[in-house]
Amino acid sequence: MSFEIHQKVKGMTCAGCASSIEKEASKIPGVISVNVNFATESVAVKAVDEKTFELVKSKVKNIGYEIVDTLKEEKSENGLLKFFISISLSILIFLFAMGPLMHVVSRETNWYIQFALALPIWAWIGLPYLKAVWTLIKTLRSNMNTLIGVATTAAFLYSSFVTFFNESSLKIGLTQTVYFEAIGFIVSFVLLGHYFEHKAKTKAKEALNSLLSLTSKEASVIRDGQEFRVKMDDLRVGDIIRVRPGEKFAVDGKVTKGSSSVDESMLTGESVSVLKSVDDGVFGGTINGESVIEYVATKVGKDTLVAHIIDFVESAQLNKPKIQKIADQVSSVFTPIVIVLAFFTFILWFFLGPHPVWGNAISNFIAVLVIACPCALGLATPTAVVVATGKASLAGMLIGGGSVIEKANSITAVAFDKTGTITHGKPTVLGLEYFGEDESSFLKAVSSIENYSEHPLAKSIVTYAKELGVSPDDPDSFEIVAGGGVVADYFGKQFHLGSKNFLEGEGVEFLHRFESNVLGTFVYVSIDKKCVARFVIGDKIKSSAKELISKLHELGIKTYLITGDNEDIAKAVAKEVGIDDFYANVKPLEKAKYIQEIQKKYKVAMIGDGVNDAPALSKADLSLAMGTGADVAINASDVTISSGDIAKLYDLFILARGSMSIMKQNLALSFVYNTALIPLAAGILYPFGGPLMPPVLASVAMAMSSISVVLNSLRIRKLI
Amino acid sequence: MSENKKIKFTVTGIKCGGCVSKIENNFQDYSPVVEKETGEVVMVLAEDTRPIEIKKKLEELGFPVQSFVKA
Repeated sequence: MSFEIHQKVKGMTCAGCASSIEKEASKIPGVISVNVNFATESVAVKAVDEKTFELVKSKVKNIGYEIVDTLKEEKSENGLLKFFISISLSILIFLFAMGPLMHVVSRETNWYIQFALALPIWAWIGLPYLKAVWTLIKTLRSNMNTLIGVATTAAFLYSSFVTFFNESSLKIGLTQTVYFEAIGFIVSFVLLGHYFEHKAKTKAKEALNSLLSLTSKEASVIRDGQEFRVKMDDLRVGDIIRVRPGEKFAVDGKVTKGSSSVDESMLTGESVSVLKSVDDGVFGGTINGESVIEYVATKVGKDTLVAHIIDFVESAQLNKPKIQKIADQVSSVFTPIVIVLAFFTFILWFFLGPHPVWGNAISNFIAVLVIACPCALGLATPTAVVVATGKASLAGMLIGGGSVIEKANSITAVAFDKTGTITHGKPTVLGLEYFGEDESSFLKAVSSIENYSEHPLAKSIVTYAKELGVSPDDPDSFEIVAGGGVVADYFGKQFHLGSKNFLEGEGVEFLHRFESNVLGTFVYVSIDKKCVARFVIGDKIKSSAKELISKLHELGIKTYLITGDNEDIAKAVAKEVGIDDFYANVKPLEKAKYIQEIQKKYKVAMIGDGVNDAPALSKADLSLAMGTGADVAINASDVTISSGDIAKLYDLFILARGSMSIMKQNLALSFVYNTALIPLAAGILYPFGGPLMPPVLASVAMAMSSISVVLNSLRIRKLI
Repeated sequence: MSENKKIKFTVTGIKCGGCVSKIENNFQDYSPVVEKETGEVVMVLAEDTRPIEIKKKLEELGFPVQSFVKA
């Protein structure tokens, strides 16, 4: 037995933090797994019991973060207010430092004023960064905040010393500059970066938020013939709920009265409304169409489809692709290395640099610390995964996580199951050969008779007749004969229906010739022991199949058909739809073998109906199941296509390929910002006559890095 | 005057007297006569009652219908 929980984590500033939390929490005995996602600020803990989780919570608090109950209301930190205070003070400092107010007072007074303006920024607004420095001294752990803290503290201490102990500073030979404005701008831009990062993260989680806002707050419940407005949380299984046109269904249920079209697009991605009548299932979050409907609640609260999907998407967002794991590891060693590099820079400039030694050394020291903040690196993949999985779920595809996106990107072949995937999986009358004179009376007779049989073939004939406007009557007598046949009397005539063997066994004469090159299951019909007709029944191919196959070919993906049907049918279906190759007469347990066969040359994705194809699906490099979202909870497939629309497969590949390239772009961007610019900040261009990087510029660049990575990830929404 | 019709259904699944009573109780309106050994159930239906409704109900109760004929 185990205890699993998803919660929010506060206090992380970059992926290095996420890594630290995972490492420390995993050390606790009884913890099975810990997964932290920096981009969604969430954590998934699996432990042997709840007590262990409490231990995890306190350990996390010890290292400077906080696990918060997701259900509680989140108070948005007033980041924007702090930014405005900070930037206003910074501008004031700037006016005194380099602006028009520079010579209004004596240099001494000027510096005192700057000090006073900078103090609240450094000590109050910048308190988190100071705390991080203290943590560094205490535990040798560092993160982005540490870099900022060290930078601003170095600048503040130096500047304060020069201000208040001016004579001593002259004696030591300290450069007579102060850096109060740098402190102000650094803190301001860090705050600005965080604010935009937060805003963009919220947009990236938009899909999840829209799922969360799906459910209505109240519903109209019918009790003893009267209507009551009941809150969502108070709805119970068995309640009869009345939904008006345009209203949302509050929970899952079965229609008891009325019939209406329902918009299920938010769950399945299908834009066409579905007609629902008595006994049909309806889902919470969907929107009712033109008529009033009453339904009985079958699943409420956490059991509804919507709740399952939200759960699924949230845990999918915690699932990491390989490149992210590498990025996280790099992040966690990054900050200590940067601190060392910064000190190295300082020493270099101090001992080997030109005058002013102190000034250059300090300035470049600060610049290196600030520009190397690895937040962009930590955001590169998670934000992309969050946007991609969210977008996919809105389109009716449930992607199991970031690693699934990686897998989908590398697929070079797709194996399709036939029945239910390429075909509808329901027997349908493909054609009727009738040698009599009155086809509509004939259909009336046949459908009246077949209406009494539960056989799928019989049902397909009844449906066929209904679609032609013929509704079933009642025969005078009806008998199911063991061995697959039906005998019935209708208006004085004796009918036999069944296979050729059956009719021949009953003494029926076959006077007509039937087409021989036809594929399918045959139901022969005789009247008064003379065969007059044959129904050809088969599994109709989905209309979207052909287009999907050709689009997959455009992507350079090879296609295979694996089926238990005989070779003739497999060949015909493959040809009709354009599939490259097929394996016929495959027994259910053998499917996995054929997947292995294809794997010799390709990376294979297998798409099936989940239940019987399990062994083959688990062998495949990527597994896709078609099913309603309810299967998601128990489905082990990488991807679930909730509406059974195989055309979505193309969208999946487009999304996966696009997301991977955006992830790589993000990593490249963060590399440029965080790593490539460090030498610049350290002053490497100086010996060649190039510029130094003032600390203020470094802080701008650093804010830009996270913003640009997040914005780039948002482009994923435009892929499909 | 509406004509009633007598229909003989042949079902499977009648295992004991309990099943016989079940059918008799659920189809009281149709005066059923149940033959346990052969599975034959004879009922009197009103003219506008469709045999398919009886068939569905029998199957819901657990007695699949093999055949019916106007008796």
